[in-house]
Amino acid sequence: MTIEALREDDPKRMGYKALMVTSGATNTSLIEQEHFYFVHGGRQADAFELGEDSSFVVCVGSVSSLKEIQFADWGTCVWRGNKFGRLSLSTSEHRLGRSAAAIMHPIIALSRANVEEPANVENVSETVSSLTGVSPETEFEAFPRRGTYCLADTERILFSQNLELKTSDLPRWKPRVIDDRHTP
Amino acid sequence: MIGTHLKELMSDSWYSHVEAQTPLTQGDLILDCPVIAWPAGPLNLSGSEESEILKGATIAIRADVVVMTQACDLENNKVDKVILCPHVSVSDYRTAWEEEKKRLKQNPTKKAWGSLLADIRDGYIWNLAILNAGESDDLKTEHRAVDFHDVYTIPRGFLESPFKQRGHPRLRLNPTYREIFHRRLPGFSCVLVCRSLLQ
Repeated sequence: MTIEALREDDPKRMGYKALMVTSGATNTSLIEQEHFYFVHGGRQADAFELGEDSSFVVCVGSVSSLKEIQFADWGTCVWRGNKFGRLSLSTSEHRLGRSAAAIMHPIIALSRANVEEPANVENVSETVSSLTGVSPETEFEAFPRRGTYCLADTERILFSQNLELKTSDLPRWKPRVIDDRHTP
Repeated sequence: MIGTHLKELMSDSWYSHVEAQTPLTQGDLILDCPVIAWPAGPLNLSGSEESEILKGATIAIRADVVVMTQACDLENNKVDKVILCPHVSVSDYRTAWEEEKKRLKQNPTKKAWGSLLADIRDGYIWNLAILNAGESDDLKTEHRAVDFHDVYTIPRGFLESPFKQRGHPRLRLNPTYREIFHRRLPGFSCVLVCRSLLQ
């Protein structure tokens, strides 16, 4: 099983950070004798080792294209100290629906066993209910690129125009000569 | 792959020769790139349909450009659009400079030209950078003057299609010189920002 996509809950509840997962790697420096999903992004690994909570929204399975991921494909993992489990899909669906902001952060490692065989997670519903009101039918926009912030649908087309151009017939760009040290 | 990279790093040459099908990266010199731009002057939007005025204001030019977008962003497909700056041969720049001098009733002396080149080299002319002359295989270029005043953003797919279809190889700045050159653009931007803040 592989993680198709993963997002970290934004601590300020302003959205999600899209994370990049590399499956199949092992990192014995964090938890010995276990395999991990290396996750690029999110909070620093130190924060988890200190026992802080964080939740991740994951999509597991065999989705062929990130754009095809539907609302119901996502589940939630919650990291508590050095453990984390996954909520059922039915309780996690209200968490979704906001656009994601992806920011580069250090690599952390999520236990593969815990992602794929979720442990019982207590009291997570309080966190889940904080974002109620989002339509369950809402689908994610296309998965944003790692390390970039994507503003969806910000371009408004003012006009479109068919142009017939031949490159060799176009006037050449000419430099604007500025012979002055003090004028940028 | 690693061998090629090391070879590029250790080379004294400024440029490598890359085939038309090679994916784009920072420091690629693209010749005769069609660019759509807007006029520099103010646009009067009154008295007619705005979209009609905008249509009439589009300018198409062709320019030799260099790719400014970070190589890692292009390699990792993080960007759809590519940032480009135009460049001309130094001899063409000199012609334009001489014309400007004459327009200003000044004498474009050889000494003044040499002084200008020295100022560009030393970073005093913030908007200009000089690329060295060089050659790689059968491609060669004389010194080029890159102008950071004009910055174009073009969809990557659009940009790559002409030179793939033309099948023309291109010159690519080698990593060391690419890095040195690319540091000039933020410097120029920084000067603009600082001065605008002070005004």
